[in-house]
Parts: sequence; structure tokens; C-alpha cells
Amino acid sequence: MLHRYLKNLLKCKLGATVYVALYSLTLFAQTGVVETYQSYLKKQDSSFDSILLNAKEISKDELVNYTNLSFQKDFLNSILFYTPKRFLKLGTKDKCSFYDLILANSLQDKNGDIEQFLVSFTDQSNKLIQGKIDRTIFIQSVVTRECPKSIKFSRYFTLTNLAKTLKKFSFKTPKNINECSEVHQSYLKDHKTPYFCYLNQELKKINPLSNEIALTPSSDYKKLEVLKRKLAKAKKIDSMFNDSAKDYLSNLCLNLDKEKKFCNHFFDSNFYRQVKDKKESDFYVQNFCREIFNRYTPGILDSCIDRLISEPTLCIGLNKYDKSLYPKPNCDEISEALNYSGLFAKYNDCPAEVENDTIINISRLLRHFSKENYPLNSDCALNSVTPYVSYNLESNGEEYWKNKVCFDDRINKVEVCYPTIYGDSKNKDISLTANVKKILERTRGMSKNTECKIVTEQEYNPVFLKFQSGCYIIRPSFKIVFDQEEVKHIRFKNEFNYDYFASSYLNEGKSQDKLLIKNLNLKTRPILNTTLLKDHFKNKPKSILHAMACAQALYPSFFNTQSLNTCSPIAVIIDGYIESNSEVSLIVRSSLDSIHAPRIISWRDVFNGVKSYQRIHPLNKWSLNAIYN
Amino acid sequence: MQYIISALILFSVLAQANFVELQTKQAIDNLRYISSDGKTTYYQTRSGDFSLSTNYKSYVLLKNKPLTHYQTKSSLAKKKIIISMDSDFFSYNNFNEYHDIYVSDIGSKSVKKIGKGIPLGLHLDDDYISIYKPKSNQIVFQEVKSKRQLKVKLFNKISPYFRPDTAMISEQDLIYNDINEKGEAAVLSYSNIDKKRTAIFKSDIANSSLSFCYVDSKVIILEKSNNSSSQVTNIYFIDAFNNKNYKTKDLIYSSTYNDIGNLVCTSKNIYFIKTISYNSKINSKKTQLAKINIKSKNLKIIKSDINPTQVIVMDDLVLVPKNGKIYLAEGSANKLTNDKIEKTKP
Repeated sequence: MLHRYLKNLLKCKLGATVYVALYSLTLFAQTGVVETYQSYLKKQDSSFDSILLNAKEISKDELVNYTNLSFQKDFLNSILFYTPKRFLKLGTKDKCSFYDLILANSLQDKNGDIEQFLVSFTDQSNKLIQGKIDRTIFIQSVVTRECPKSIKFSRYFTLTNLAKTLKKFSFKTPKNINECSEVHQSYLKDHKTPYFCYLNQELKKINPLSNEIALTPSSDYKKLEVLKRKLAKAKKIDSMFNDSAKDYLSNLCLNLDKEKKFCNHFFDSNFYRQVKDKKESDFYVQNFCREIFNRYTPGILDSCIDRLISEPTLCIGLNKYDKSLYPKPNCDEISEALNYSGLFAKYNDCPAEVENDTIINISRLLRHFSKENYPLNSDCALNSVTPYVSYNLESNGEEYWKNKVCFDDRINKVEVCYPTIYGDSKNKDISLTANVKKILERTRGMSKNTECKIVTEQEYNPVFLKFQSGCYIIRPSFKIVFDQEEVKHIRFKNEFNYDYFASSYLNEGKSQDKLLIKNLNLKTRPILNTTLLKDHFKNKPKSILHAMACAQALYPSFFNTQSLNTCSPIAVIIDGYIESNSEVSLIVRSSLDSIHAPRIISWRDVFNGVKSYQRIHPLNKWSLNAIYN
Repeated sequence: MQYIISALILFSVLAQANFVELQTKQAIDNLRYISSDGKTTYYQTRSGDFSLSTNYKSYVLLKNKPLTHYQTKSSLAKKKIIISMDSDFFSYNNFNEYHDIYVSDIGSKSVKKIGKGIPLGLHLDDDYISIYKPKSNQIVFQEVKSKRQLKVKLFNKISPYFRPDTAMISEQDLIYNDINEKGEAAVLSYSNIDKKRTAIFKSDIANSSLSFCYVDSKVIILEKSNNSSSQVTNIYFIDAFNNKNYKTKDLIYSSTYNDIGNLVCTSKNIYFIKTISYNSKINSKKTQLAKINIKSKNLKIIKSDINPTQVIVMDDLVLVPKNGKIYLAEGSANKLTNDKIEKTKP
């Protein structure tokens, strides 16, 4: 308590230097010093009691047209001492923010909730008045006059309006450590925070009140009645919050002055535990669990996550479903990386199944930045291809997706082609099955009720009745069979070429990075060193960095350099960083990596990868850029 | 008669601890091969040409569309060079895409198209080339002059971006590494006569990777853990002959870190990237180039302050690429800086 008093009083009154010096003294607990301050405190308390008792009671009428109203020094000292420092931080922005604390009942003096305010002011006859004002009069005559918006705002948090207010509000869960700092700062500036913390205090009273009621003899019915009323109020508030909201509130209000502690609450724990607690999506573990248990149902989630936590080496070899760069990091490392990661990842992808690796990167960026709600597909490759194709056809035109299914229109004597992806997409315009159906309806008179189906070579067996009629597209050759006859008049035209970053000045405006930034109205800036990187993530925590890098330099443990300028270009996404002893590592997902298994890669290796690519790039361009809203 | 001992390339020496940075008349980024005496270089141009430069003359060996990217691979035999051609390097990225593969005698003006795939190495005095075909999960060992082929199917299903190491003991006996579906790594020999595989080395370390070289009848294997919380690296020498079931293994190096590895061999030494410290919080390694003499088995750290991550052996040069620059770790800089034209005595 003494420490807190010193912190509060000295920090506010005497300045930081003196505070540090005196606080250090108390840490060494030199008896003399401590006793001096204890006796000082006693004096302060009794002086406050006597001032309050003897103060003149100020009526509402005396406050008409008052000027220069301020709190008396002893009253302020008492507030500074008895109010937790974390709440005081909310009241330092301006006068109204301090009044918000009063309205939310977050300030306390020696006697607990403040019922009387010791003030000085000049009345309308220009006379200096000192005295105490009753809480209700203070709010009606002072707060209403000086901060009318605060009064209006406080009404949203009365017990009658609270449920309605809460329905319109959700707590901001930070996606990564950098974003967390921004979230914490926003709560410090938010006028709602004092009210939320008041509600949190009320919630915390439930257990003590219940205990006190149990211990109070029924003969003390007056006290019991008051306690029961307070408990009923706290319970009513309690009913309006679910467990995770209560947990959030408690963390926020306890750590208003401790940003790091507030953020640790979200990220210090194993990420998979957060998935288990439903705070994070189960997409992060679906493929892992499917491989461990040979199936995935929400029912196995808890036992699957228990295994990922207790056997962290499991993740290294789990690669059956997301078909990505092997070996993966162990589960502990993935969990650590995910704690710092901000990329949207509520879907599954499988890099090795996609023809052009950079489609993986572009789709990850599209799903992160675009407002478009791209459909989820059970075919993991289509989860990447569909957003890329839909976006490019809609925003950039057919030249950016040159895979087509074609036939000769004999009546008009022209070749007709439809842009197509090699799968059964929910987007009918680009779905292979829909386009083949469209062509067969036109050229072979196929019934509109007949659908084309994609089957594997192993599945297709013409002996079975179900394959004896209808339209089948057989993977991987994509042979088309209609009513058991191979269709030869439908042709595929394939081309997957495009520039991710421009390779010539002439085509600069047509590169995918430039188009993405233009079409999604994003901003971009180069990231040349770790100072810029840290600064950027601090100011724009939702940013994503992307680049092209040589795989041999970025991931030297995976790929060796065979000769001079050996480079296998891979696109990368970086969505966070970790610092230790002023060294920085980044959270990296290359276009070969699973979206759910980011790697922690040192800045040295990322720089080496990007620099090596720059060296052989025709425009000699540094490609590590931040993109952000 | 006059012959020229020229260095087409002017090397200057930039101090970087005890590595020196190569600087050449040609842009380093265009360079693909350089002989240790600097007489022969292979380079590419942005316009799509791949050329040989020797004795102040240059010859275009391959022509293709602009921005074609060429990569090369040579061997200890120093007779041939593999050239792979990627026409759409900047516009089409598929890690497992096959590229056109050519082979040329070093210094020759002619090239021979071999096929498509991912080139792995030259073997048996450069008479054979090995090519990886990830789409069919095969390694093809092909005789350069006759197109005779030996094919080996891999077990690997778990690692879509796997790159095997390869060697040939004879025209019928091959060595390669593979991973099974449980992720267990092994170095295997394959006899084409009895179509039989034998394990030369199976890793006992869970979640490990293997790489190897074959030098002077020895299989040199680098084994490293992939688990950052249980780190270990070992190097073994295993005799390929007179070693029944390859039971005799000579552990010549062991470390309690996961080395980066990238093992390369010369006839006298092996080189690899050794981890010297590890910050587990940020998964960051401090590294040095390490060298082990095959005969004495002595380890030497070739110190530098660039944190090397890769090592290339080219002719007699040991090179370290880093941050877009190439450093000379071993090899005679003096020889390379010789830019004089010498006349033969009458």
C-alpha cells in the first residue's frame, strides 16, 4: 500500500526523479524511512477526516455560475492514494476523462466510493468558496455543465440500458503482439473503459458479498438487505457477460497500466490452448488432427490439442494434408510463431498442389486484405486458386488467367474459350465442371439436369452402373467422358505465367503486387532494415510484409546452393517479429509453407534471401515491402 | 607459337575477415562458373544468351528468350558442366518444375541437350548425369553419350520439395538418399543387376535429415536433427567396399547443435556449415564454414564474420555466397588476379 501511495502521490506531485529516488529507498526498506512515511500517512488520513467533517456543505444554488472550480489538495491526495494507479491513468487525458472516472465510480478516497467532493471555486459574486459537495449535486451542477457528453454517455451503462449497450459492443482481441499494443492504447483513450472497469469491480464482488451474507446473522436484517441488494446487482451484471468477456475485462482492468502484462495474457500461453478454449479458429489444427486421428471431427479437438501440446515433435512430420515444405517446425515453435502472427488463416491450403507457387501468396494476401468473402472449398488447392482467379478475372481481366477450356463453335466458325480452374469451384463462371457442362449442353445436347463430376483414375470404373451414363472428368489426365465416350472436341489451354513483382519497367503496372495494391486500395513501403521493420509493425500492426527471396538463402537448412547464383525464387509473407537481445527474427510463411505452420526465421536469413534475389533481378529491385490499409 | 594464360576476370580483394569478396569484370550476378585459374567462365546475359568465355573470346552456347535464367553444376572430375535453362524464371514459379538440361565439355563450344527435370549431379568421370523428376518421384541416371538410363523410384511421399543427393559407384551401382512415409531418412545403394536396395545408413535420430558425398570409395554422411529442441549433428565415413552390409561406420564429427550442413566434398576435404551458437527464442544461428580433412579427420573452422550459410566448390575454389555477394574462402586469389598475357618461350 505504501509503495502504491508513493508511486501515485510522488509520481503525480513530485515528479519522476524524486519518485524514483524515494521509491528506491523504500525498496531497501530502511526502517526509518518507512516509518516516516507511515506516520505521514496517518497524519494525512486524520487531516482528511477532519477537513471533510468540518467542511462547509455547498448547496446547489451556490454553484450557479461558478468559475475556477478545483479539488482541494488533501482530497486529491486521498484519491491518488486510495484509487488504484491503473484507473488514474484513464483520467489523465483531460478533465472530462477524470469526470468519467467519477461517473463510473472508479475513483476512491479514504472512505471508499466518493460520496462528497472537497472543492474550491469562485461563486457568482466573485467570492472564493471552499467546502464539500454531495456526489449527486456535483454530478448535476458540475459534471453536467462541464462535460455534458460524459453524462449522456454514462446513461448507456446504467443497469437498465447495460444489456442493450453490450449487444453493440465486442472486445477487440489482438491478432499479434504488435497489434496488442495498439489495442491497449485504444482502451486507455476509450471513454467506455472506466465503465467497463467499474462493471469488472462489481463482478469481483460476487464472492465476497456471498461470503459476507453467509456470515451475517439474520438478526442484522438491515445489513443483510443492503448486501443482498448489492449481490443481486452484481449477479445481474454477471449474467450479461460470457466467461471469455469476463476474462477479457479482468485482464484489461487489472493491467490498464501494464501493456506487456495485458498482452502476455493473450500470447504467453500455448497458441493451441487458445484453439482448445475456442479463442482461435480450429482451422489451425484440422489437418494435424486429421492426420493423427485419421479423421477430423470437433469432438476430437481437445484430445488432439492435448497431444500437440504434450508431444511437440509431432508437428515436424505432419504433412499429409497440407502438402507443404517438410520438415515443419515442432509444435512449440509453430505455436510461438502463431502468437506473433497476424495473417488471416481461417482456411486450409496445400502449396504443393498449386501449379504456380506465387498463387499461394497472392491468395493469402487477398484473403487477408480483400473485403470479398471467398468461399471455402473442400479441395485445398481451390482455396488458393479460386480467390486468385476470381479476383484477377474481375479486377484485371482474362490476360491474368490464361487457363481455358475451349471448343470450336462450328456455326460461327470461331474458337470459344472459358477461363477455367482445374476443379469444382463454387464460382460457376470458372468451375471446370460447370464449363464442361456448358460446352456439352451446347455441342452434345447434354441434358440440363446432368452434372459433370470430377473423379480420380482409381475411382472411375466404367463397369459400375453409375459410370455408364453422364459426364465425368478423370483426374489427373482431365480426360472427359460423356455417356462412356471420350470427348475429344474440348481442349485445355494452359498458361500460368505472370509477374509477381515487375521484371521490366514496361510491365511494371501489370505486376500482381502493383495491381493488388491498386485494386484493394492499399499502401506500400519498402522495409530495408530492422529499425524500419519494428517501427512499421508498431505503427501498422495489421501490416503484412511480402517479398521474393532465393530459397537457398532464406532456408539454407533445406536447400543447398549448387553453383554461382543458384536461386529458386519463392514468394514470402511476413506478419510479425520477435526480438531477443536486440536481434530480430521474423514470422515467415513462404509459398511452400503451410499457412498453419509459420517459421521463425532470423532477419539475417530473410535479408540474405531477398538480397540474393535482388542481385539477379533484371530491375535490381529490393522486394521486401510492407502492405497495409 | 604463342599461348595466352589470361585471366578474363579481374579479381580484387575486399577484406571480410579472412574471406575475400570476388569482383569480376563481368557482373557477378551473370556469372555461372569460373575455373580456379580464371581462364574459363560461363555467364549469361539478360537477353537470354548463355556463353562461354575463354582466352579473351566468348562463344554463345545457348540462345533463348530474354530473362531466361541459367544454372550450372560441375563435379570434381572437372570435365563437364550441366546447364539448366529456365525460360520463365521471373514469371512462373513452380519449385518442382522441370527445366531443359544440357551438358557441355568444359571449355567446349558445343552443348548437348539431355532432357528435362531437375539436375542433381555428374558421376563416373562425368560420363553420367543424374536428374530428379519429382512429378514421377524418380531419379534418372543417364549416360551422357548414349542416353542409357537407370531409373530409381523413391519412397518419399512426405516431402513434396525433397532434393535427393546422388552418386554412382559403378555403371550398375547407385547411391541416393530417401525418406519413407514415417519421415525416416536413409542413404541407400541400388544394384541394377539384382534390382535390390540396401541401406547404407539409416538414421537413429527421430526427425532427422541426411545428406552425403561420395569420395574415393567413401560415403560421407551428414546426419542432423530437424527438431530444434533436441539438437545433434553427426558426420560418418562409411566404406563402400569391403564393408559387409555397411556395418562399419566411422563417426568422425559430432555436435550438439543442428548444423546448417550443406555438405560438399573435394578429393581431400569436406566442407559444411557449422552452427556455433543458437538463440532458441528467435531460432537464430551463428555459423562458420567448417572443413574436415578426409585423411587426418581434423576439423578446422574457417573463420569469417559473415555468418555463412552455403558453400560451393567450383574447380579448386571454395566459395561462399552471402547477401548477393560471392566470397572466396579457399583458393588462390593471386592466381585469379593474374591478368597478364604470357608468351611461351621459343
